[in-house]
Parts: sequence; C-alpha cells; structure tokens
Amino acid sequence: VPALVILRIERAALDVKWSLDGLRFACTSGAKCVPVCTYEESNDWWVSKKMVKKKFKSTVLCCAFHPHNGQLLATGSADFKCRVYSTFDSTVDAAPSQGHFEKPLEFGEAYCEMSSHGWITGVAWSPSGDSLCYSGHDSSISIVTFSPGGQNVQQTIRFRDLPLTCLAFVSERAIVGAGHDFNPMAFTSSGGGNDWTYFDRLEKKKEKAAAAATGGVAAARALFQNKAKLGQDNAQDLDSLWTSHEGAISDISVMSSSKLSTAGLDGKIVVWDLPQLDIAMSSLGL
Amino acid sequence: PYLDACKTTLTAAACLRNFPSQTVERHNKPEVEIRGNKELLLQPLVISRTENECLIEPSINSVRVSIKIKQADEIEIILCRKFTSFLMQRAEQFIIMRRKAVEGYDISFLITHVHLEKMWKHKLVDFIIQFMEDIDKEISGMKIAINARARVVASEFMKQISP
Repeated sequence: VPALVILRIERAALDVKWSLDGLRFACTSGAKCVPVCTYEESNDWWVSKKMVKKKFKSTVLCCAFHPHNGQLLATGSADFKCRVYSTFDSTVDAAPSQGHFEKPLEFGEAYCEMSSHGWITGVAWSPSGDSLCYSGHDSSISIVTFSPGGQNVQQTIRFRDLPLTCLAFVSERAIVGAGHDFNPMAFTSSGGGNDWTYFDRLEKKKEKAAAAATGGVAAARALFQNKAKLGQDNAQDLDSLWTSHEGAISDISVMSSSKLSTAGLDGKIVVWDLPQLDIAMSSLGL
Repeated sequence: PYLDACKTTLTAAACLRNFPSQTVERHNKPEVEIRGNKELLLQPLVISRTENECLIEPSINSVRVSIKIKQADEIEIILCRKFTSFLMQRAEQFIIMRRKAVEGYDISFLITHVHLEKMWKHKLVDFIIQFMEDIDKEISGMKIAINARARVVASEFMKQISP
C-alpha cells in the first residue's frame, strides 16, 4: 500500500535512493538539501526528521548510499562538488560507523568534498565500498579510492565525448557510464585503484557489407533508385543512427554479473549482455 | 569548417536535462532565459566567420542560439529585417524559434529539454546548420529577384513615356 512521506522540501525532488540496509532513504531536491527519512514506530510512517543541508549551494542532482555502511551518503550537486555525508541517526543505528574515514561525524556533517569543473551528474560506489566515482558535465569522471587511515587517492579522466549522466560499477575493476552519447562506455583499472583508463564503448558500428555497385549499369540503377527513394544522390546513412538508443541515456543499472540495462529519453530500455558484445571480457574483472 | 565548428558546439551545448526551477516552487523554466543562478549557466560562445556570427548560450536545461546574417548593402538590410520578422511572427510553427532575437543578432532559437525529448537531437542540430546555410542563399536569391522585377517594371514604365 503506498504511503505518503512528507519531505518538507519547498522545491522539486530529483533523485531518491534506499540505503542497502533498508533503514533509511534519501531524496535529493532542488531546495539545496537532502532529506533523509527513517521509519517511526510510534506513528507507523516514514518521516524526514533530519535534512542534510550544509554546504550545498545549488540543486543536489544525485545521491548514492554506501553498499555496506548505510550511514555514508555520497551526493553530487550542481555547485560542482561531490560530498560524502554521515547520516548517523541514533534512533535507527546502533553505533556510528564511518567506514574508512577517521572518526564518525554527526548527522549531516561532510566527511569529504571533491570537486569537478562541471555539474555532478552521477555518483556510484563500488561493490566493496572502497571507491566512489562521480561523473561531471565537463565530460569527466573521477574515481576516489578511500583507504583506512584517511589517505584518499583521486584520479580524474577527461574524455572528448559528450558528458555521462549515469554510472554503475559492474565489478571492482570496471565502471560503465552512459550519457548524451547514446552509447555506454566502460572504464577499467588493473586493481589497486590508481590506474583507471577508458576501455571501450559497448556498442560498435556494424560494417554493412554493402554490395558496391561496380559497373556502369548497376551504379546507374542504384543512383536512380536512391534518387527516387530518398530524393538524394547518394545513399547517405548519416541520417539514421547506428546506436541502439536514439535519445540521451538517463539511467543504467546492473541486472546480474554480466548484464546491464540502460534506459533512455527515447523511451527505450536496452539490455546489454556483456559476454556477447565485442569487448575483451578479461579486463572487466568479472 | 565554420559550420562544422557550429555543429560540434551545438551538439555539446544541447546536452540538456529536465531541471525544475530552484527559485520558484513547482515551476520549470529555461534557465538561459531566466539567468537567475550563475552556476546553472555555461560559458556563452561566439563562432564567427567574417560577418556571419553565431552566439551559443548553453545552460542546464536550455540552449539559446542566435545568428547574425551577413548584410552587405541597404537593400539586404531591409530584406533581412522583413524576412526575419516574417519568420519570427510564425515562431509558434517553428517550435524552437524565439519570438524576438537577442540584442545585436537577427534571429534566435531556444531549445529546451522538452524539445529534445520529442525530437532527435542530431536532426535538430542538422536543421539549425541547414538553416544557417540556406538563409544566406535565400536572401541573395530574393535580392536578385527584386532587382530583376525592378528592371522589368522600370522598362515597362519607360516604354509608355518614350515615343
């Protein structure tokens, strides 16, 4: 039965995620804050008691909870910063735990802040929770690896294509991101978290085995046929897109260890079966 | 190369997303027109080749493209003004056109994420580039037609006067 949750935000809600222990969920909003909602036994409903408000100068675009430690929330905002906050709540959590950071902080305090040159459009934790990656609108992705003792290693990759809008870790060593380019791209590292590189795109253009019209008669016929069909002289295949998606990809999610699905603004959901694509699977570390 | 530069810039600038307004509740406005929040606007870019100029102003949910057409002499200026006002009065039909051009330019387009959801982005970009190519040709074609008609009219008129 759907139950209403009052979020107490004055602007639109943009992204919402459950924490993996199911004790709370967070909702990012245009009111420059992230209400975190927990279940209240006495009234039998979910309520947003506390909001993460500090330091956001603009709309918070995306968020992601740590896979093991439900108290760490990474958020990406249109003020070019990605921050990790603590969502420790004494009514719900037994004890504050801070993952790899030095000491636990109160609710709503930021553990760390990382920046980019564009709006942060997507944020994702690795399956073990050791790394966090976020994508910026300046066509970059940054991966930060946290280690106990507070030493963070950060690496930024910039690429020449259009920005990504969503990210997902396929395994510890591979990230797949998708965005305005209609074609997901994969980044891999060789383990150790320091050397992420762009690996490949998931979709390749299929070379059409076009029967080249050699010889005078066949070429002339092809020319007139094209003129009649398309009103043009050459069969231009620039008009049709060779990628599966025709609109910007807006979301990506991992279905199982070798499949992922992407959803786009063209109304299509495409399921990618990784072993069947033309990419070298061994580097993906599955 | 001028048109290629315009095309790549436009494809990059048109990476838009739905973005509800931060300032007013329940409103969804094109940020490039409102210009309220500095962090939501991107750098405006001017691409020019001699007298043709193209100003592209991107933001998080909208792009404004303004074009300045080459106008060499008086008659082209008048023609251009009439042509653009004809188009702009029918801006509704064009969907992406703006009813008034930005200061200093002749015609402007406003593309929002709503348009991208309904139309293919690469086709939209191709349309604008095509428009930029054709408008020059059309204006010079119209000028030639005017001159030809003026010549015919004048010669007919003179025939009546001369014996």
